[in-house]
Amino acid sequence: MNSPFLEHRVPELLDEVVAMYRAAGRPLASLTEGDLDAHFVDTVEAYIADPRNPARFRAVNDVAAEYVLRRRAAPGERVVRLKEGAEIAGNQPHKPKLVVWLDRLPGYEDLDLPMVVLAFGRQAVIPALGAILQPEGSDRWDKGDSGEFRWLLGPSAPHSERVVNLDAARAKRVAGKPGVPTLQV
Amino acid sequence: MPMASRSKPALPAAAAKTAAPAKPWADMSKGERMSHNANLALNFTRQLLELPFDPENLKLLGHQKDAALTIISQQIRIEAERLREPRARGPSVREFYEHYSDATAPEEGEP
Repeated sequence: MNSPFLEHRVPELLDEVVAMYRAAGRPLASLTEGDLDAHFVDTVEAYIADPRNPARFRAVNDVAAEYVLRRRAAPGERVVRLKEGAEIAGNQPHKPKLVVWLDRLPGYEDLDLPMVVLAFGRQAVIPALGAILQPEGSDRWDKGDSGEFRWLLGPSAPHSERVVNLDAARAKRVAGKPGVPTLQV
Repeated sequence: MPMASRSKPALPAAAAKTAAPAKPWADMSKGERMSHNANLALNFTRQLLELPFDPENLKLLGHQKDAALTIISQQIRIEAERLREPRARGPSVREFYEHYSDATAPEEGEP
């Protein structure tokens, strides 16, 4: 069974993000593919530095919309903290990254969701990985995180049926268990 | 050549339960009458469909077929309407943006 969050909520968010970006005149349409990738990295890094800045997380979502419209995958591996030994060219591990704290939500392999980053406050989503992430350096879970996380989940599932179990996720995080093989949880 | 027997099949025992309503018909509201008649119709249809299948009793077979097809088509319409109902949407991205744009204290952060 697919996660209602991935099956319903994420497509709903993507639809709205793309619609808003289109309504704004698709300002990134003129960028070359290389320039768009560079812009993606710059935009996500700026977001990581100040994740509750609305201009910054909205900019991340605008870039995501442009990738969706082009049907291209964003270079997510350049902005996500990789496991030790998994560094790839261009990852620049000395820079702050997004850290996966929930991943492999059910159905992520089957739903064919885009490889983009969506950002809402300190909660970020990479639909193609079925992953929820947070900017590095923001380890403390505050009241704002709870509100943002509830907002992100939306009415995906009743509380009793939610596939995302916060306590389990925290325990997993503390235990340092790896999720996606190439990503550090 | 012997003719096919047209003896009436026995109705299921439930037939007796369709009798007198608790309230006299004259005292019932229009809604109560509709509800009562709907119950009778449901009972009647159930009894009709539960009669033994008799391929030689074409008249009965025709009634059973009509009832079955009507019920199936109505059920399909109901299911189709249910599928057309819009899903409950989650809180919108626009609202999230507006919340943060309006917020004077970002650390409150409760969209």
